[in-house]
Amino acid sequence: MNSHIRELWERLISIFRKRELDDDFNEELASHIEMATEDNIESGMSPVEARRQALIRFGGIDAAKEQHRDSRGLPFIESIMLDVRYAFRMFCKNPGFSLAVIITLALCIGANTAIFSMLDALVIKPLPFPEPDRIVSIYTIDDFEYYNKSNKLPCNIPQYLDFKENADVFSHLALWQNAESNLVIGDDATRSPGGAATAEIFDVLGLNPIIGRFFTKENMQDPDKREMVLTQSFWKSYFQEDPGIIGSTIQVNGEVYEIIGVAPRIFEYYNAQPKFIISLQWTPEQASPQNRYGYGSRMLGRLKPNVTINSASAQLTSLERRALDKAPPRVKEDKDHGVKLAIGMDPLQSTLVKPELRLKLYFLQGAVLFVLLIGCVNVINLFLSRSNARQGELSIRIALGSGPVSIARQLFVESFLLTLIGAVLGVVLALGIINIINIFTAQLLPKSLPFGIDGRMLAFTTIIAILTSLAIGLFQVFHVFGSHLLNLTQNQSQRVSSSRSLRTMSGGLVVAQMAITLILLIGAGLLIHSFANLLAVDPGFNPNQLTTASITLPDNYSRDNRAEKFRLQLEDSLREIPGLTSISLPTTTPYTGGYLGRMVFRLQDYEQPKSEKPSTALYLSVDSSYLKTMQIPLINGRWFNTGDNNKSHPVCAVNQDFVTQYVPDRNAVGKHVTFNISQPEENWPEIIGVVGSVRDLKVEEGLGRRLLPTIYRPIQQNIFPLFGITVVIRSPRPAFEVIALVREKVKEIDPALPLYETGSMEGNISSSFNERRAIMLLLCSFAGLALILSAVGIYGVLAYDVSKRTHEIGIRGAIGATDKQIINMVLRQGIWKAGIGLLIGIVGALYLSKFMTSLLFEIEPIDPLTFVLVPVLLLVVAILASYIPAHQASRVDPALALRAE
Amino acid sequence: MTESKLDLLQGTLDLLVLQTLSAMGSLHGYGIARRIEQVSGNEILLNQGTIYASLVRLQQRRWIAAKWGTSDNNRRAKYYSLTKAGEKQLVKETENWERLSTVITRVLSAPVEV
Repeated sequence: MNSHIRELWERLISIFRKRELDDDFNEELASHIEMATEDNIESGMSPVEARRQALIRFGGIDAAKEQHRDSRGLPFIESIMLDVRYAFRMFCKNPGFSLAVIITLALCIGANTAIFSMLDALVIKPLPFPEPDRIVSIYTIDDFEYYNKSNKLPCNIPQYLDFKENADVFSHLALWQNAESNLVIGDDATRSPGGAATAEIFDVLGLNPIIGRFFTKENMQDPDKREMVLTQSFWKSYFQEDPGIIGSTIQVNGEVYEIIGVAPRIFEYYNAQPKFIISLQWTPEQASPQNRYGYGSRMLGRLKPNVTINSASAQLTSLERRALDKAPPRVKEDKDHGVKLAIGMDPLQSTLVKPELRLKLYFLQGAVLFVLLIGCVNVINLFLSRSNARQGELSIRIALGSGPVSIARQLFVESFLLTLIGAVLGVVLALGIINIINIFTAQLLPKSLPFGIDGRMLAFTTIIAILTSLAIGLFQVFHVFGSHLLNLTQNQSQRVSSSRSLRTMSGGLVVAQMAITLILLIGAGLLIHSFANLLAVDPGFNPNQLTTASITLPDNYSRDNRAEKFRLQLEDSLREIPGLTSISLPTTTPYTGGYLGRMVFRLQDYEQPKSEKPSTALYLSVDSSYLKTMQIPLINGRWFNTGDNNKSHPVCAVNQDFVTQYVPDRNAVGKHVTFNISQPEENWPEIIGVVGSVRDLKVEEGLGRRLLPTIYRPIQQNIFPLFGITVVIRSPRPAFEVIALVREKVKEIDPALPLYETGSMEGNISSSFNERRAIMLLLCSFAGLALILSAVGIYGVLAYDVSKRTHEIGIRGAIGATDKQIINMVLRQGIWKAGIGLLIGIVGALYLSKFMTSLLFEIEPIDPLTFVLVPVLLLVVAILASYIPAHQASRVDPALALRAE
Repeated sequence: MTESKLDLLQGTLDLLVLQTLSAMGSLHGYGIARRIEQVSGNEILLNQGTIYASLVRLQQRRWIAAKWGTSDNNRRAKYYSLTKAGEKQLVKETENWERLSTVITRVLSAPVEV
C-alpha cells in the first residue's frame, strides 16, 4: 500500500522534472546502443551492421521513450495539463471573450456564495452545541392573540417548577429571560442587554466556562448571592480578555454583582446579544400556581436520548391540563373558553430565526440562482459562437487524429478553467458582499453572530462551479458533435447554413434568459412598489423635528412613588433647555423600541359575540402634553389635562381605529372601558376623547395588516407601576444636540441611569423598515444584474448573427434594401425573441408572485402597475440592445461584403 | 483487452529484472536485457527498449536504486542494484509466482469429469 502511494508521488514529481529525466534517459539509451554495438562488432559484424542490429534488438527508440515517459509519469494528467496550457493560450488570444466569461461568472457565483453563506449560517448549519438536535425550545399554546400571531407563548416559573419535578423527558430544563439592564462599570453607566437564567442553561446548551465557573442552583435560592457570568465577546471588547477580572464587581440595576466566569463564544450562537448572564431568582409569590397564566420566560430543555418531541410535548400537555384542573374556577372557565391549552416544542435551531425571515432568505437564494442561470446562458452563448469560429481548428485536430474524447476533453477543460477563475474571483467578491450583509444582519438579527467564510461555503461554491462548467461544457460538446461542424468535406456555403442549429440554440437560450429576467424584475418591482407604499403611509402624527430617548428605572425606584417623582423632576429640568417647542414623557410610544402590548379589554354595553376572540387594544400610558408634542389630531371630546390624576375619576382616550372596530354607533365619548374585568363597573375609566389613529407598521406587521385600536390612559392613572420613560421632544434643534442636553439633565438627577435608544423619530421610522429595505435592495441588485446580463445576452447573439450574415446583408443592400429595412430586419429578430421570452416570463411571474404575498405591502401579488411597467422596461432594453447590431448591419457596404467572398 | 495482456507482461518482466539484479548484483540496462535473453535461452525475445519502462517503475517503488557509473570498457552507464525492499519484494513475488503456476498447472492437468 505504502509503495503505491510512493509510486504515485514519484510519478507526480516526475511530471515537473520532465526535462531533467528526459536528458538522463537519452544518455542512458545512447550508452545502451553503444554497448550493444560494441558487442556486435566483437562478434564480427561491420560497424554499420553492428549498429543496425543493436537498434533492431532495441526495438524503436521513440517507442521506448514513450513507454518510459508513460510508466514514470501520469499520462492522463499530463495530457490534461497540455489541454490546460493550450486553453490558457486560447484565453490570452481572446482576452475580451475570456474577461466577459470570467466577470459574468464571478458576479453570479459571488452573489450565490454570499447569499448561501447567510442562509447557511442563519438557517441550515447545525448549532455548534453538543447534540444540538436534542435541545428544544418549549412554549405554551394558547388561543389568545395579543402576544403574537403564532399563539406560541413563552413559559413561566410555576410551569418550570412543575415540569422539573414531574416530567421525565428532559436531562436538563432551564428558563431564560432577556434582562436588559442598567450597568455601571466604574464610572460608566450603560444600558446593556443581558440574560437572567436558571443554572441549568449551561447544561442544556452543554457549555463549560473558558475561565472561572458558572453559577449553580444554590444561586437561584439565595437572593444575596449575586454572581454574574460574562459572555466572551463582552469580555473581549470591554476587558481585553483579562483573566484577572474574576472576582471584580459590576453594578446591575443598582445591585452589586461579582464576576465569576466567562461563557465560551458558542453560547452566542444561542443569543449574540447578552453581555452577561445572571441567575434567575424568584419570590415565593412568583412561584405560586396563580402565576401559571402569565407568560414571560423562555423555556429550554435538553431531551433525554431517544425521546421524541411529540412524546415530550404530550407529557407536558398532560401536566399542564392537570394543573388547569386545579386552577380557580374563573381561570378554568376562561381557559376552557374554546381554547385548546397545550404545550409544544420546537428544535432550538428553528426558533432562532423567525419563520418569515427564513422564507425570505430562501426566496433570495432562489432569486440569485436565477441570476446564475442567466449568467450561464450568456456564457454558453459566448462559447457557442466561439466554437463556430473554431470550426477550422477543430477540423484540423480531428484530421490529425484527435479522437472525439480528446476534443470533448479539451472543451471541458476550457469551460472548467474559466469557471474556476470565475469562482475564485467570485469567492473574493462574496467576502466583500458578506461584509456588507453582516452590517445589515447586525441590525436585522441582533441575536445572530456575524458570519464569514467556511468550508461549507467553499463546498457550495465548488459544487456550483462544477455544475456550471459541466453545463457549459455539455452545451459545447452537443453543439460541436451535433452539427456538421467537423465535417471536413463541406464547403463554404454549407458552412453558412450549418450555423442554423447554433442560431436556434442561442435564440432559445436568449428567450429563456428574457423570461427569467422578467420574473426577477417583476419580483423586484413588486417589492419597490410595496416599499413606496410603506413610505407613503401617513403615520398619524408629525415625526418631523421629534427627538426620542428611553430611560428604564431599576427596582429601587418602585418604592415611595420615587418613579413618578423622578418623572416630574425630569420634566422640570428639561424645561430649562432652551429651544424646545414641547416635551412629553410617556411610558412608551410607537417606533421607539419600547414594548407595545395588546391587552384584552371590555367595553361597556358591548356584547362580545361568544364565538369571537376577546377584544384587544394597544395600551399606552401618556401625559397631558403627548397629543400636542406628537401632533396627533383630536377628533372628538377632550384630551387629558393635569387635573386627570390619581385623585380624580379614571379617564381614557381611544383612537379612531378603536371606534371603527368596536363602537358600532360611532359615539365613543362617555362610554366606559376596563382592562380589569373584576373591577366594579362604576370605577371603569370613562372615554373622554377620540384622537387620530397612529400607525406603527412594525407592530401591524407582527399582527398582520389590520386596524390598530388603541386606548390611552393618563400616566398618573397608570394601572402598572412606572418603570420606563420615553422622552419625546419637539424641537427645531438637531436630534444629537437635544440628546446631549437631555443626557446631561438625566445625569444630574441620577448618574447611574443610562439614556438609550436615542435618535430622531424620522430615523426610528426609517429603521423600522430596515428588514424590508435590505431584502428589497438585495433583490433589486440581483434583478439589475440580471437585466444587464440579459441585455448583453441579446446583444451578443444578434451581433454574432449580423457578423455571420455580412454577405447576405450585402446582397440585400446591393439589390436595393434601404438602411431602414435592414435595421428593421435585425430589430425584428431581437423583438421577436424578447417578446416570446416576455410572454413566458409573465406566465411564470403570475405563478411565482403568489409566493411573495408575505413580502408585499398594500398591493396584490398581481399588481397591474408592475406587470405592465416592468415588461415594457425590459422590452425597451431589449430593443436598445438589438439596435446596436442592427445599426452595424445597416452600415455594411454591399461592395465590400460581396468582394469579401 | 490489450491492456490485460500488457499487465501480465509487465508484472512478469518486473520479476525477471528483480531476479537478475539479485543474481548479478549491480548491472546496467543493456546488461540486464542481455542477461534475461541468455538465461531464458533466448526463449523470451523482448524488445530491449521495454526493459526501461520496467526499470523506472521498480525505481519509483524503491525496489531498485540507480547510479551512474563506468563500465568495464570505460563507458559511462547507469547501474541498477536491488534495495532491501527489493529483496523482500523479490521473495514475495517469487512465492506468488510459484503459487500461481502450481495452481494453473493443477487446473490444467485436472481430469475431465464425465
